[in-house]
Amino acid sequence: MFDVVRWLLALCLVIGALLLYAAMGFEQARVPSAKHPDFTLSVMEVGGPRSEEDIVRWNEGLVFGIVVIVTLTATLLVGVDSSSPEIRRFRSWILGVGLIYVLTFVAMMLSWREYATDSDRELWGPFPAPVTWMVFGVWLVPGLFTVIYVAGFQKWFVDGKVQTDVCSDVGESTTERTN
Amino acid sequence: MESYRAQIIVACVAIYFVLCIVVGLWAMRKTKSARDFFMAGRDLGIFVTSIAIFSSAMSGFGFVGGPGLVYRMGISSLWIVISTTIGYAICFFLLGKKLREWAVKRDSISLPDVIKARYQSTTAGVLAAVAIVLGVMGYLATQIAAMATVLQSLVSGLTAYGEVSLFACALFSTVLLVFYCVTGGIIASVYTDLIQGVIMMVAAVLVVLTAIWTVDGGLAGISEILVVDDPQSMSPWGSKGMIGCLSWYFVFALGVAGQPQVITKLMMTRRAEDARWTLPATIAGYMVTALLWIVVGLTMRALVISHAHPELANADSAAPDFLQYFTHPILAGIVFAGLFAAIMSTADAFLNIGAAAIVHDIPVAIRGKPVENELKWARIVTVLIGGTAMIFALYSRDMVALLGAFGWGTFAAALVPTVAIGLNWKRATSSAACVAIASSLIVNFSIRAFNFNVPLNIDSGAVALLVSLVLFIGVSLVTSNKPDVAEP
Repeated sequence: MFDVVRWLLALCLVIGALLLYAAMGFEQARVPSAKHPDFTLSVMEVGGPRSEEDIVRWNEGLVFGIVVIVTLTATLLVGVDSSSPEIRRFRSWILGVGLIYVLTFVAMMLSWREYATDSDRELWGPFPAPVTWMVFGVWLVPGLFTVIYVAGFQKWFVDGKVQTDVCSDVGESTTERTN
Repeated sequence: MESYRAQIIVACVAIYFVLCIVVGLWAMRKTKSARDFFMAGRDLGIFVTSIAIFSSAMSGFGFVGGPGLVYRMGISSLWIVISTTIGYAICFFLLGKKLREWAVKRDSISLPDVIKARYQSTTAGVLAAVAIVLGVMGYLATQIAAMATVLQSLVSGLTAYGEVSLFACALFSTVLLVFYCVTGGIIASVYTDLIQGVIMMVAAVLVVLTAIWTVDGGLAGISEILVVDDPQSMSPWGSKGMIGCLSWYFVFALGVAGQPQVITKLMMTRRAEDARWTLPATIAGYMVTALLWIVVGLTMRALVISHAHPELANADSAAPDFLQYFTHPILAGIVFAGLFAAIMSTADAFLNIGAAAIVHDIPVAIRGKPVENELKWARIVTVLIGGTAMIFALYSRDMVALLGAFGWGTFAAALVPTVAIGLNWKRATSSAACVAIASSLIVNFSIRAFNFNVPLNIDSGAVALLVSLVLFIGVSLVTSNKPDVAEP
């Protein structure tokens, strides 16, 4: 049986392991953020050496970001965890959007690599290209989950019998115990 | 009109305060029982609920702290903003209907009520109540300190009143907050959220347009100034760095489903089916108001770098300075009024949640029944919590910062596993719930109290959330004697 919560546990362990690896492996891990050289009154920061190491560690960031996005998508699936055929279709839609979400993040990462290594930093619309991917991609694409929620609401929440009804189960067990 | 700028701003804020008193008195007439006081009689429609949800999240932190973070770090803090589309989706997928069902079926009026009913465990209910009271105290003290500071800076602009002490501003703020909450309970809070939400959506658009017109070339012009100064600050990671930003994204996206000021609103809706349209309305409202966070922060950074504005004394002055020096006085007055609305509605929600934990959850968990005349005691305890939070705000600045930072991570780590996952997963056990809540308190408090410097700017809330999720699921799998996920 497909138990998404076990997957969630595995993904959380992977995130923990990746954070530990980054904290121990990155040279700049314990270096505080760099201060802007021209402004001393308040704290204005700049990228500094940590940003330079980030681009060298591009692969690790890509993997970490993808695992985070997969974990967030898996958490959504906890809310639709059922083996009913109707629900399986919704689950496929959610996984499909999850894939687009991952691809958008990958596109942002590729764009950032180009931005960080290229001296010609043209703007895409109002922002540099990777920030445009971030704002108009990574921010907006998960909005498709909302579209699925609205479209599937009637079938999967209101028509009932589609979610594991923990509430009723606890009610039954309480009654048994009282009796 | 410019010469009367300070007076116009203070007049707008004063009108807003009078409006608050009127809303409080109107809400008092509607509040007849503890359920009305804590749950708004479970009678909120789609529009009111969605505005109340995003307004609770976009508090003083969003309007003052957000632009300050952008001014200080560049793009980094946009990861908090962009986490909302997935964060609210997770919140509604997991809790949109479930939480209301529990509230109705078990006649629950608070989250610890739901936790106690779900796990059949008094200990889990009491632990949740304790976590909520601790988190609430920090949040509330932070809100009172923010309100007093902004009020002081506004009143000091009026020469007729001379210098007004911070104590006087804090006392005035607390009295107004407590009056407002004691009279109207959560009903007053959600209707102020409504006023705030509408004001902020309109004001955000106007302020963003003003910001764009302030710098030649608009947003593109602002980006060009910032890219030339420091290309990394205009990369997706800003100065926080790649792993730190992604840890923010993780904890803010997942953590929304554990914020009591957000998810208790889901227990107050008129019909479970309203969740369908509440989700898109909430996200749309948040996105509009979040423009203020993004654009004002970037504009002030560009203005300071290009020497069009003096360097800021502290990063949190980014939004107040922009309003004071670059916007029309009436618009500035409206946004300052909206800022007070944001602080007051969030503070009111926390006063309410804290009072519910002390008056309802802990006595019910320990004695098995609520106290006599719950509504009267709720009002008395609200006064006491407000007074205590004011003392914290004035005399224990370090403790306030500690508890404030502790609050968000604790809520996320304690309530995401036990409420968001636990209400959807049959195998979750009471032992796992107790371990998850206790671990969230221990991990978060240890990191803050011992000033442990988490490498790579990784958010301590992310660490606490990971630990509590792993413990919750792991302990449930070990201690559960039920068969593998049963079908309904």
